[in-house]
Amino acid sequence: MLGFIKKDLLLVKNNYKTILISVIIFILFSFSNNTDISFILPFMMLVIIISTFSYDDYNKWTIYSATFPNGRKNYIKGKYIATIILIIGITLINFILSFLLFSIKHSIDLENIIITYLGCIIAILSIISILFPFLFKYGSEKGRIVMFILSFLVFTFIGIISKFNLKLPSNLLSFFKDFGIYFICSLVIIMLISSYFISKKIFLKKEL
Amino acid sequence: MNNAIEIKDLTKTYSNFELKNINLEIPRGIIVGLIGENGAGKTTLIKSILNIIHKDTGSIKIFGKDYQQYENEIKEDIGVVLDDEFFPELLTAKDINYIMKDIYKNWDQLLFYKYLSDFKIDDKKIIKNFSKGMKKKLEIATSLSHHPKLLILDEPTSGLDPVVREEVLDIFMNFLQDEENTILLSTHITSDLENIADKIIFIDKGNKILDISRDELFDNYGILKCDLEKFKTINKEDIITYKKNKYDVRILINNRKKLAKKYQDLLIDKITLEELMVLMIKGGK
Repeated sequence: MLGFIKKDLLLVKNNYKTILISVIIFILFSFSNNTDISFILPFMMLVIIISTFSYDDYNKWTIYSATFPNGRKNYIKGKYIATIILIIGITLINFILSFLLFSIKHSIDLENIIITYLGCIIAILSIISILFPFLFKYGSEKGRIVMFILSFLVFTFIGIISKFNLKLPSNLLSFFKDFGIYFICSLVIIMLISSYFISKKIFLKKEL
Repeated sequence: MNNAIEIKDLTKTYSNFELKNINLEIPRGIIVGLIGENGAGKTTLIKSILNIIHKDTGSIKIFGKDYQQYENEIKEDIGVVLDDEFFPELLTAKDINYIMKDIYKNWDQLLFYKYLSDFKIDDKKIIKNFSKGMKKKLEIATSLSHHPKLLILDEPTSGLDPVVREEVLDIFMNFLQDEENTILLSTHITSDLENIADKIIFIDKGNKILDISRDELFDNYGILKCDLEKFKTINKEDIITYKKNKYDVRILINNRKKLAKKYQDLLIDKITLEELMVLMIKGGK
């Protein structure tokens, strides 16, 4: 499995220019105005991670990896673990940059920054949980279409909520205030684990 | 158990193609050539053996062990080259070593670097910038660097110039110095097999139509050449297939020595694998 994680990290390393440009955009934006674009690096990383599926399909690595001992299982494990490492890693870098930038601007709201970044990780891991089984089932090309449909549905949902000013029931709201972060984190972990097992089931049966 | 590979009643059906009831026994210590035209089923057979695609029916044993049950253990001892290129193009040979040492328990990085040096492969150059031949050499080096006991090679010499092909074939022959080692090699370059294969398996339209030792093939099979008039005098039972040209007929025969006595006025040539393929696929009966 370690070999597969290394492979994905090496592929992502080759995208360092894209990541560097994203970091520069992030710094420039944060300095020049008050727009919060803290999501940019983790989301950029998500796009890069999804592109590793395309590389694997295009370079026939997916097929080759099935010839290794435990190849299919380790391919899936490697993808999930490399993704988690990369998302958490880039979010930490983003967090440190935010912290430094806001320190310079003398306006640190540490709690707010932590909540923003935690939210970012949770959002991306949720997307991954839903998206990965589709990528394993249909491959990278069709998987991209699923990603667009998912994004469309999420934004439509958010749009509907804001347009009709829908509110959560007060007892549910207080539940989220008291236990929300633990509840959501547990939910995301359950989603990720379920997603892994679904992907595994799909990929073990798949004709490559 | 002396067989490296044993396949019984293997079938794999697609909407437009079927690999039909394949039975094979490949003893340890030999090199087996898998031949057949494009789309005949060679790659489907190799992919079924490697479980890249899932067979419909049949059983596969490798080194005497049931493949389904001991797949991971068995795969530690198999080296593979697939027909398509399969390394991530943005990586280098150095990266491949870094990855593979965590894939195979027996990965030998000294051996890998020895092959890189023998093949003159730059370990820092990205694979995308390699020539087709260099990519193939890297794939071959990788397939050999975990000390496999069985090599399964799909078109391993395609894209290589004659000098490098010779070099690669020498490496395969060296690999067979260990009598426990076995090679299953599919190729279009049939002249390679004539020099090195111990056994030939011929697949056509999903069927195994020939499974024969190299010695038996070249001792017994032949091409009988005659004009159209003489052709009419030849006993049909002596003809496996034939191909009529404008002025002559080329007839595929078995039992070359016996027929040489029977048809003393006719010329019987030794067969080449290329002629065998053409006559068995395109020839009439």
